[in-house]
This record gives sequence, C-alpha cells and structure tokens, in this order.
Amino acid sequence: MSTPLLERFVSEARDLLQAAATGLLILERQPGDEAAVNEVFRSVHTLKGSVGLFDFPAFTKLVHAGEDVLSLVRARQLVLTSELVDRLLDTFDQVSAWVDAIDTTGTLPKDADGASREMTAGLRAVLPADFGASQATASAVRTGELVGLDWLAALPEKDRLAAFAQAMDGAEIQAIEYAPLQDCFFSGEDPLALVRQLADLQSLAIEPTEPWPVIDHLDPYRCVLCFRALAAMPRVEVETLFRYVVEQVRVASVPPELLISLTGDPNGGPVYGDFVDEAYPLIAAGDWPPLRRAVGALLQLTAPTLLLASALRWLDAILAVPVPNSDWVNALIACIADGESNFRPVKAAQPAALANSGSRHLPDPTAVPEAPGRTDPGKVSSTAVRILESQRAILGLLTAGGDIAARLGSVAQTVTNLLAAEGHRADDLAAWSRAVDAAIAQDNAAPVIEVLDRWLAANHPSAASVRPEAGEHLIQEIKQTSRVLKVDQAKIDTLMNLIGELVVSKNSLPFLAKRAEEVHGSREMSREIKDLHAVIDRLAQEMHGAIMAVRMLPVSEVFDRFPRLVRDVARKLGKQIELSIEGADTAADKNIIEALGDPLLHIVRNAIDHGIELPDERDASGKSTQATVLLRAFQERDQVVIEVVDDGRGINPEKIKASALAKGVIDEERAARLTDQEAVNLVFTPGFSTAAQVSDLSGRGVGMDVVVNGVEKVGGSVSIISVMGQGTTVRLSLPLSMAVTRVMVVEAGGGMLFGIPMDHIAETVRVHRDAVHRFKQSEAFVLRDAIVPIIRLDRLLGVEPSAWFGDGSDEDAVLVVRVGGGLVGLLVDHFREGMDIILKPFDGILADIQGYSGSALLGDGRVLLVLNLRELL
Amino acid sequence: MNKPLARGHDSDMRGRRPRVLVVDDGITMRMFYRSVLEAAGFLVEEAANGMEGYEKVLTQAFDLMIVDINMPKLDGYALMQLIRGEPAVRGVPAVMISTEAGDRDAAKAYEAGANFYLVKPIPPDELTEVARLVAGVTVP
Amino acid sequence: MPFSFAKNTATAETLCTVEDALPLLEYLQSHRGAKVDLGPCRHLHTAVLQVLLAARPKITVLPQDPVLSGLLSQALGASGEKETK
Repeated sequence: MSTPLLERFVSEARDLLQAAATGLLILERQPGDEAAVNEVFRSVHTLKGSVGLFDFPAFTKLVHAGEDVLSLVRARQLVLTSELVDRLLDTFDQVSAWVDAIDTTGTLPKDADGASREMTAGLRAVLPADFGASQATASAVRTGELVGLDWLAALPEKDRLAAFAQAMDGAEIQAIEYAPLQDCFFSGEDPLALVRQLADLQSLAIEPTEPWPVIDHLDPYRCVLCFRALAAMPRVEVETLFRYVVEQVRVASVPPELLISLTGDPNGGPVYGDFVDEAYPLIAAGDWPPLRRAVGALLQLTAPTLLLASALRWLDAILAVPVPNSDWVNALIACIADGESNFRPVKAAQPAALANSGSRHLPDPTAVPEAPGRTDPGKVSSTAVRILESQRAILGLLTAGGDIAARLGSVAQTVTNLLAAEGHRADDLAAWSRAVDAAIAQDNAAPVIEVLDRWLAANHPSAASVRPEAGEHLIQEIKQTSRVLKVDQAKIDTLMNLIGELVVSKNSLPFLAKRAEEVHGSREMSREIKDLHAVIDRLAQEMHGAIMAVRMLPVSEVFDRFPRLVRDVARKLGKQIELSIEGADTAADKNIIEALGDPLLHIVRNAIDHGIELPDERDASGKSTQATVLLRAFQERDQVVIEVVDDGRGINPEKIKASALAKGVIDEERAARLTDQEAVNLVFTPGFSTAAQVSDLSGRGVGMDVVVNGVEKVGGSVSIISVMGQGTTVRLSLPLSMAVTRVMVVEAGGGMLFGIPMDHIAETVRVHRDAVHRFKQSEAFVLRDAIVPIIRLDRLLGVEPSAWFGDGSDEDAVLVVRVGGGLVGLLVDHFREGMDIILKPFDGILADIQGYSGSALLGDGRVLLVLNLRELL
Repeated sequence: MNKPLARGHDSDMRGRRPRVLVVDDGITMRMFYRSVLEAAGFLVEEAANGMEGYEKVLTQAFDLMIVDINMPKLDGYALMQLIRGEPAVRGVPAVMISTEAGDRDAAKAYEAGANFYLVKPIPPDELTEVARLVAGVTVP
Repeated sequence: MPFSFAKNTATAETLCTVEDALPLLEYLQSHRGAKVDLGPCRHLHTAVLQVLLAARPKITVLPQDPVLSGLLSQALGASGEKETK
C-alpha cells in the first residue's frame, strides 16, 4: 500500500518538521534571526509542495495555513508571540502525527478532516482579515483542472451569448464546477453564498448529484448539490474566492468558441441558400459589413425557436467585433447550409490543432480555410498555445530594454523544440529560423515577435498577460554544497552483516595456506595465499572502519528535541530556563546516539523538575531568575562525553541519606559512614527517587537507575557531581563507536547461552556419534582427512553437563573453531543464531576471571557470556 | 553569440534520449519529477539547490531544465539569471515551478529567464506534455 | 423565524439560514401542494435551496433581488416553470 514516493515523503516530512520546529524555537528567542525565519518558512513551504503530490487534502490545507502565517512573519507583518509559537508547534505536532499515520497505514486518520479544519481556522484567525484578498498571489491555491465541459452546451443560450460577448471584449471566461462536501453545512459553509460572490457570474446551473428522494426521506442537512458556473474573471480570482474549498472545485479557462452551440428546432423555417452562397465570398474577402447587415435582416425574419435563429444569433455575436474570426463564421454558415446543429469550427478555433500529431501547418489567418476538418473539442489541449504565449511574453520583456542576447537563445530553442515536438512542416521551422536570424542581425526582437503574434492570433484570442516587473533578487551567498545521500538504516545493517561474513570467510585463508603447504606440498602457493590474506584482511578492516563511519551521527540528532522539551516543561512549571547546547556536531555511532535519547531525556527532565528552582526562590538566594541548563558534548579519547549541567539547587546529600534510610536502601550504620559524594551516588540505586511525589513530567516512577541501565547497555558509564546551591552536573561517558563483535551463540550446559567470536569459527558440523573416536579421556573426529579433537563445552566451563543426549538423530552439534593454528571441535547442545553484540569487559571482582572476554546484554535482557577461546583452550 | 538553432530539429532528437535537469530542494518532489519524466523517456539528472544546479548546467548538456523557485543557497530566480548570463548554456529552455499562481510570480520567473511556468501541484500528464513540448520530443 | 407558515403558503423573510431548512421541509411534507412566497428574501442558504429543489413547491413570488431571482428561476426552471405557470 506504500509507494517509494510515499516513503520518501514520510522521511522528508519528518526532517522538514524537525527543522521547522527547531527554527521556530530559535526564532522565538531571537525574532530577528533572518536565517531561522527563512529556514522555518522554507521547510513548511517545501512540505506543502511535497504533500501536494498526494491526496491528503486535510494535510495540505493545514500546512498551507501554516505557510501563510509564516509568510507574514517572514515579511515582518506578524509578530511571533509565544502563543503563536505554541499554535505553530501544535500544528507541527499534528502534522507529525499524520506523517506517522501515513507511514503505518498509508492514509490519514479518519478524524484528520475535523482536526485540520479546526487548526486551520485557528491559524487563519491570526491572519489579517483581508489576507486572502490582498495577498491573492501569496495565498492563491490551485484548484483542480476541469475537464469535461459538455455541460456548457446545456447552459441557456442567452448566458452563453453574454459570456461570449465578454470574451470578445477581452475578458477571461472560466468554467467552474463546485461539488461541496456532503457534510459542509455542519462546518458553517453556505456554498450558494460563495458562488454568489463570483464577481461576474454569467450563468449558474444547480443540480443534484443524485436523484431526489421522495420528499419524506429528504435529509435537509446533507448537501447533494453540484454548482456549475460561467464567470468572466481571471482564474486567480476564482481560486482566491474558493481558496478554502479548493479540492471541491474544478476550473477551466473556456476558449470562446466552446460557448458556441446551437439549440432550437432543426425543422421548419425558410431555406437560406442564397444567403449561404453570398456569405462565403464575403468571408473570404473579409468584407464584414454586408454580412452583418444580412444576418441582422434574417434574424428579423426567423422564428426565434428555430435552430436557424440560434445560428444567426451566434453569427451576430461573432460579427460584433471589427475583425471576426472567419473560421467560426464559416462553421456557422455551414450549419445554416446543412440545417445541422453541430458547430464545427475549423482549425483556428482549435488549439488542439497544435496538439494533433502528423505534419500540419500553423494556421495562417489570411489563408482561406480548408474543407471543414473536425477535432473533438473535449480534447482541446492548450498547452502548446500557453507555451507560445509565454515566449511572446518573454519577448515583450525584451523590448522593454532587456538583454536580447541573453534571452533570445532559450526562446528560439523552446519554439523550435515545440514545433519539432508537434511535428510541424519544415516551412514553419524555416520561417521561425529566418525570424530568429533576423532578430539577431537587427539586435531587436521584433521579427520573432511578429511571427509569434501571427501564430497566436490565429489560435487564441486572449493575449498573453504578463506585466514586466523589475526583478528584485540578489544572488544569494554562494557556498560549496555537501551532497547528502539518504540511506535506509536496514541497508547499513546489511552492510554490517556482510562485512562480518567477509571477515569470517577471510579467516579461512590461513587454513587454506596451511593445507596448500602441508597437504599439497606447495610452499609457494601457501605464501601467495598468505599474501593475499594480508591484502584482504587490510581491505576488510578498512571497509569495517568505513561502514562504522557511515553509522556515525551527530549528537544533534538527540539534542534537537530538547529546546522544545525544555521550553514546554519550563512553561508548564513556571520556571525560566535558558537551554544552551555545545558540541552538537560531535559524532558517535548510530546505536550510541539512539541509546542516548531516553537516558538524556530523563536527566534533563530531572534537572528541570527537581534541580531548577522557581524564579522567586532563585531570586531569594541571589541567583538570576533565569536558570541555565547546558547540554554539552565533546570527545575525550575514544569516548564521547555528554554532560547535562544545571545551575539549580544541587543535590542535598543529607536529604538523600534520609530518604535512602527511610526506604531501607541503606542502614543507619552505613549512612553514617557515607561521604557526601557517596550519598549523591545513591540516586543511582534502583528504585530510588527523592521527589516527594512523582511528577508527571519526570520520573513517572522510575529513578536514575534507568539512566544507568540504558547507558551501561551500550558500554558507557554515568557519574554525577553536585554542589549544594550551585547546581548539578551529570556526565555520561560512552564509547565513540560500538565495539561491535559478531558472535555465534551456542547453547550448552542445559540452556545456558555462550557467545563465540565469529573470527574463530571455521565451520559448524553435525557429527554422528559413531564417528567420534575416543582416546582415553580425549575424543576426536575426522574432518576431511584431519583429526579434530572434540571438547565438550559444558565440561570445559565446569558447568553441569546437561541431561541432553542428542536430539534422537544420534548426531552432536560440533562447532569447529580455529585456535592457535589448530582446529578444535567444541561440542555444544545447540547452535543458535549469529549476532552483533556490544562486548562489555568484566570489571570489579570479575575482572580476573579467565576464559571469558566479557559479557553482552541480549535484547531480551539476558546476559550472554562471550568466551575467550585462546585462554580456554 | 551562439546560434540558438544548434539543435532541436526532430532529426537531431531521434535515437537519443532527451536529458532534463531537475533543480528542487524537496527530495520528494525530485523523486516525483524523476518518475514522471523517466516514464516519458527522459534521462533525469537532479540537483538539490540552485548552486548544484548551476554546476551541473555548466558541465553537462541538457535539453530542458525544471527549476523550483524557493530553494536554499541559490534560489530559482538567481539560478536562472546566472544561466541566462552564461553564453554557452543560455539557450537551454527552462520551466520554473512555483506554488504561487499569481501573474506577478509568473512575470518574475519570465524576467529571471524561465521559458514557462507551472504551478504545484502539477498533474503528471501536464508535466509530461510541457516537458515534451519544450524539450522538442515528438510523440512516438 | 424567517419563514412564516400559513395554511397553504410559506412566506420567506429577508434572510433564510440553514436553521430554516428543516422547518420548511417539515411544512412542505405536511402541507402537500403548499406554495412558497420568496418575495422579501435576499439570500437563502444552500440547505433551503435544496429543500425547494427537492420538493418543487409552487413559487408564487420570486425574490425581488434580481440576482437571486435569476439564480432561482434558472435552478428551479426546468421542471418548476411548468408547475408555476
């Protein structure tokens, strides 16, 4: 259900929302920060652009409202108050939740429409009342493109005639189809009122979208109407008017000839053969006044309900301009001649003439039209005309004093390409090419403008409407860019697994070298294999290092969420806190960074909740009312150190002692002997919490021991330094990169798990019990001509031999490992999976234990002991 | 002055896939352009901001550029101005993309050097047709 | 109450809001053949329009407001006209 595009969108949206929120918080403190304003605006703007690719109207609307607000903030027309920041952050939160929903379900939640409407209204409430009108360009949203225009013909002829007259006067005619949501009445919408606001409404048809039920079953609050309107106004005005219901509206710009359709009784009335015969030469000669008179006279004589009358009325309308469109006139005369209602304008009326394939000629307005051809008006594609109009507009800018050389090239190329794409005859291309050459020679755009105007006049009556305006852009700061590739985490993990396997495979090369020498007697081959091994070994190590480097992330990944958190919590508690962050670009392995999030969150919440005093209290003790929390990261040898420093009240060792005593964590005798630092360290004791009541902000019933567990899991350590009245520093030391060791997990001693480093493993085999040879106390089996001693792992480790006697297949699981150049078979109960673990060496009293390289915490919380085979065997 | 009709005749286009450069800071938008335009037979090159776009235009040959307006580093307007001032590449047709439908923004785009102007969201069909027409690709 | 309901005629007042749709519908349901006088009306809510379109009562007087009157006569025109004649 999810597409690659949607996945890309989800990941991008998350980044953009984070960037927007971060920027917003900077902005709240430094309202003048130009870079932050731009960052926030652009993030939201880009998000709006991206979400527009999908059908999430609720999402789009809300983001759009956010963008409108931010555009005013950017233009300094709106002050960013704390309330507004709250509102925007809430908006981002809502949008984030939707992104999560899209990620998991592929769609927005059911309640998204309601939430969007409410939050959008909230945001729009801060905009000036005239925002939509005065900022039409900034807020204009694109309505859908209206396709089927069949219904135009069903509109009353007088409405169409009126609109046609407007179009002949140069107005743009829009066809609008508006299908309000069925529940729109409940959100206070009145579609009819909205439609009535169309400035120059020419015609309006209101129809039900489904057959009316029996009157007794009508639901008066369910809107089932569809509005179809013709209006003489620019599209952008239509879009501005319908900006809050854009997705329910479709608009199309109507070429005037589409308004022409004949109605009335096709039978009866006189036959105007003479008129038709006279008309054609007049049209060809462009002699309009006699034709106008003839049409006027015939109208008087014809019953208005006849089809003929309809044709005459249209002729009258077309002839009303000084230079009528001869194709339309011809087509109507043809209708009169044939008594046909089907208005078939020849090519000039059809921008689609350009879009049809095959070799054709651009219409030349002076040419006598060919025999009526027919293209389907429903397939009118005006794109080519629009592009030509744009080129004309650009050339118009040039005559206003632009640099012709700079612009003519791309215009010439565009028109040439367009002609080629449309498969036009060579003479069109030649005409264009001649005009371009002339323009270059004269350093004047006039020749090309002339050609374009000729083509356009034949195609479309509406003139290109681009006003030249002075450009006001400065070239921004130019910097070398760093290119970032986004890679799925799973792919990196796959790389890690592959490099692990490569290391294992590589480790069999020395064995092969030995065999080459001992079995096949080739020292030379043996040396070559060893050389090759050295090369592969080096490459494998470098590759391992490179892959580890890819996994390095800056701590800002974690730090970035704190400005928001600190701000929210501080506001909730009525404390004044300034958060500063240092060393946010310090990098560490992805797993470390990820493991850091929760412990850090806990420490910071603790600091704000318990450490920082209320402003009054701070004032009373002579401190600034504004407290400081510092998040600092730096690298110290192979460790990354993260410190959370607050200037709060510090930890009172006596209170800790008393609390520990009360909770039975320590006894009185021990309490008396504790130093202050030792007392402070008691906060790490499981289940310890000094707060009188567990607040909902920090703790949630867990203490600092959670922090310790989280940090130790990734091989780190926690320490705490506190000075009464001056503050507390919590320091986390973590390995820079995870000491990831790939091990194979085996089961021995009846369900105990042990890890064997993959580097040592040659292969896993199942040995039939009959194949195990016994020599006194020793056992061995034959593996491809070599005798491999077998050691039972449970005996070796001194754990109870299991009651396990094989799985009924009379075979034993033997792990063949290579130690000190020889092979050893370790007999185990079961093979389990291979895995990457974070090896933690033993410390304290366990530090001297032989035979183990350390322990690792498994995902399920069990401890895995990792064997040190060199010491064991 | 370079001669603007260096290529573009249909005979030139046959047997060669047209190349389009997409300059947009939105990673999703770039993916959208790529999928639509590749389906239409284009070879698609991407740039994530104006500066990157400028470098690519200078070093590779394109039949068409699609340029977003609001971008970091170098925005679409500035990028177009740079390109149109560069004699070797100023003939490459460009379509600018914006979310604003106003005439004023279109005029700014044309002023800066665009040959056409499209407003987001762009229906894939419209994008394909415009790209085809502006880059001079005949329908097979 | 922007509609005043008499024995066989409902007369609209200046502004008919969404609240008036249900009373009008109920009136038309219980008074088959009743007529509607829209004379004083300057705007009627879409919901009210919808009731009129579905129930097709005889409109005795169209609104004085020319725009609204034009809209209504076109919307109600197709089949409504025959009945009102």
